[in-house]
Amino acid sequence: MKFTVALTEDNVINKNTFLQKINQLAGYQVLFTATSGNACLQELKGLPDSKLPQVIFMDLEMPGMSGIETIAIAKSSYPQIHFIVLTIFDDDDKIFDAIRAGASGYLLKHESAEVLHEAVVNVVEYGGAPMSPAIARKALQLLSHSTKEEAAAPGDAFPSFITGREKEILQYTVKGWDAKRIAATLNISTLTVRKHIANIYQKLKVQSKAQIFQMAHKNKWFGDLDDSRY
Amino acid sequence: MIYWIILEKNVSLIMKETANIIWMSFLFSMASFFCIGQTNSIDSLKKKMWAEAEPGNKLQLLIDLCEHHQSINKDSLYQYARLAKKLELKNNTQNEKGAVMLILINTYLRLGNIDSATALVEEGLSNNTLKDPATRSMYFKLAALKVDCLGDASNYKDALSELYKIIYEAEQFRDSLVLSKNMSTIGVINYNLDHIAEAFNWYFKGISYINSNDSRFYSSAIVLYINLAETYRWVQQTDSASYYINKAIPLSQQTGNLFFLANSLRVKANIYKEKKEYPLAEKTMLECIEIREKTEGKLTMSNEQLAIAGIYLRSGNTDKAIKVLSGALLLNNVKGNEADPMRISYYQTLAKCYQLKGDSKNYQQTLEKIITSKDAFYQANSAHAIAELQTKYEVQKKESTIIKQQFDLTRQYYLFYGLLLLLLFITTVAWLLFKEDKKRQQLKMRQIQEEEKRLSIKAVTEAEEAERKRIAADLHDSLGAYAASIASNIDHLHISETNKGNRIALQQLRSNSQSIISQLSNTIWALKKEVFSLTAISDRIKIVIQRLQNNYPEVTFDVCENIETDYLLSPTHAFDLFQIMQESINNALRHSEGSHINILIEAGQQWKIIIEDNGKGINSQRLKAEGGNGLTNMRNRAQHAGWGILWQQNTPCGTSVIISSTTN
Repeated sequence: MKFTVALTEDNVINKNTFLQKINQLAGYQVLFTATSGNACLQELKGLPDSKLPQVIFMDLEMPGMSGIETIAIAKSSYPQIHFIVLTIFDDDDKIFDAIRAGASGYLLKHESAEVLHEAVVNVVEYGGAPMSPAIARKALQLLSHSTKEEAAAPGDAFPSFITGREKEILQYTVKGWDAKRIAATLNISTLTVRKHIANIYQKLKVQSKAQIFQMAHKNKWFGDLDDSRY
Repeated sequence: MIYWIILEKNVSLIMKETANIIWMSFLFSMASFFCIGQTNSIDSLKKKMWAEAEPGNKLQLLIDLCEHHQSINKDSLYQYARLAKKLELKNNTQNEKGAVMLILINTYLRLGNIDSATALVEEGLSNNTLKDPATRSMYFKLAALKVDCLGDASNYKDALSELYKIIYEAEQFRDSLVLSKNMSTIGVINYNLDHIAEAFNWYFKGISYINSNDSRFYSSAIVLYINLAETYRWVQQTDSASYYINKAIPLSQQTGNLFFLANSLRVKANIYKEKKEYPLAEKTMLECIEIREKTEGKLTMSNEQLAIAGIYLRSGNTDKAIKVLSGALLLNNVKGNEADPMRISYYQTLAKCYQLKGDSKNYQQTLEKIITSKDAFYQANSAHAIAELQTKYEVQKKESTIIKQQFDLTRQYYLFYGLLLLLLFITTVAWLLFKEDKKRQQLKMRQIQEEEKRLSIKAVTEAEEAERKRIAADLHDSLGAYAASIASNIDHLHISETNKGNRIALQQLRSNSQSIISQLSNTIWALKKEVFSLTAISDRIKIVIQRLQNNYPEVTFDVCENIETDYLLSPTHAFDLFQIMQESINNALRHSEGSHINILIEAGQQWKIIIEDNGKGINSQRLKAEGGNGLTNMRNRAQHAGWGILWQQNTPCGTSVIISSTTN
């Protein structure tokens, strides 16, 4: 299977390292690299659906528009693109915000090409990358407060309340267990665990554009700029 | 209650001397002239009262009626008082008890039964005190009636003493009504004692308390105006006298009090007489007599009649004067008292008329009658008695002066100590305010200093934070990027390298570069945040475990959290704790030969972290032997942070590293 990817990274060394890793992998095509959020959006602008990358790797801390802002805007226009956040540690608070803005997972910058490939496969095939305990804890807190009544609100494409199984998986993830151990404990396949995690990623995402801006305003993703800019 | 109104001083020497002695009894007899003095309101009340069958309502109407006691015939008043007492006993109500008592006292005063009135007043005063707000009004009424009783008994000394006491008490409670009424009475006594300036002084003091918009003050105002007018007339200031009597007359008409109206007209007629406006004086005095006769019936001997005769005499109309005086004396001869001072005044005026007319025969006869009457008078009031009365009067006069001086002294004394206390109070308040202000200033200064300190600390913290973040960003963007690049390049080389020696070297390079990345990652992690919770440290340790798990698949891990209080640690402490935990896990993996590592994180009153394995355990020799840099670093880190750390041999096997927030 051939994967089309793109990269948004302002650091030249990181960009080169990333491209080096991609080059080690077969079946990958880098459609573009951008050095800022705005540049990324410009690259996407006007592209036909068939030319859009399947996955965009996104650095979070860039001058100008941040990675989270870029994901929020791009995801509302191109919901089919998967975004993977590039980070240096797994428990960065911003990863959770990026997931809420539309990211499907995260990847540590120093990870090997194999791990990078696994991340791409996870998001493209299952809809979400593995989750860290810190993100699982936050997801558990957020989704446990959602109710079925909220989920039934018109306009929601996906139920936001958490199922019993998902809750169990999140609780094990918080304990630091990996998918394999969770699967063995629950007597289900690793694939099913991944599918549940992908569902959880989906449930964490803000559904509508209005909600995105509301969330962005609340979390100050866009700094003090006026929303009307977008 | 009786208002003390001046009877004009008679120019006759005898009358002037005796006026002060008899004036009180005359005052009451004036009030008794209103034997059938029914005004519209009295008539209306009488009708309603007699028509009322219910005893309670009847009593209330009777009380309302007796409010006009000055205008009611004294015999009728006595009947009303008896009826009121009967109804009060029948109803047995406390509310009306005081009102009935006042009716009885006023009735006894009207009847001249001073002892009974005094006894009732004393009884009332024992039950109604000044201190109790509920009985204060009654107390003042009874105190004023006590003055009336004393005045009626010609006891000026005690009357004045009581009056000064009332004034002092009323001033305390700022009771303007009581003050105005009783100041007027003091003025009347001073007038009678020929202390004219003092009398004016008290009248004007009384006037200053009058509230002309409040109908409760009308009676006091009328009495003060009449007394002022009469006193001004007496000192020949007829303009001022006219001014005040012209204020008294309409107010008397407005209140419908014929007693006040008749007295006002009498004073006005005398003012006209002083101004030699005899026709007006005659007309006004006749008007006065008309009002008196309307309420009292035909007057025989009266002050008014004497006054009209005086007007006729002064205007040269001696025949008219002779007619009035002779007529009255003729009528009075049947039942009159030869020793009556009024009769002597009548004879003296009549004698003057005959003298002016040149009727020596009648003049001589009248002089003889004067002598006869005087003899009778002196017989009734012996020269000794008169002298005694005169002495008594002088003594009273002096005593009243002494009382007044004492009163003034007491007032000055109170004023002095009052001012002293006020000064002391003001000084204390000023001192307290100054102290409070100083305290406030100090507090403000302290707050400013604390705020400056806080801002300074905040600025330093923010600067440190900014610097920390800058270093983290630099590490991330430069060293981090280079390290990741090196690791990536080594991975690439590792794949293609076939030479064994090179491969080992590359593996070491790879391991070292991964360590650099890991340490760098940990450092940046610790630098990026202001504080770290135990939960955050726990989550990071779990990631470390996940990575280690790949290299140690035969070892199982468990992280148990029992965090009730999620303690917050500074970046330095968080980094130290994370490093200690990581080092403990690495030691267990490398040296314990165990198959399970358990990490327990507890946080309640204090926090404690236990990293335990099920390996071969650790003894003191091993601890010493293996206590290389790793353990020393762990100890140093714990000591630096003020934590406790200890290694414990578990039973039956294994080792526990216990890190706790306290060194105990």
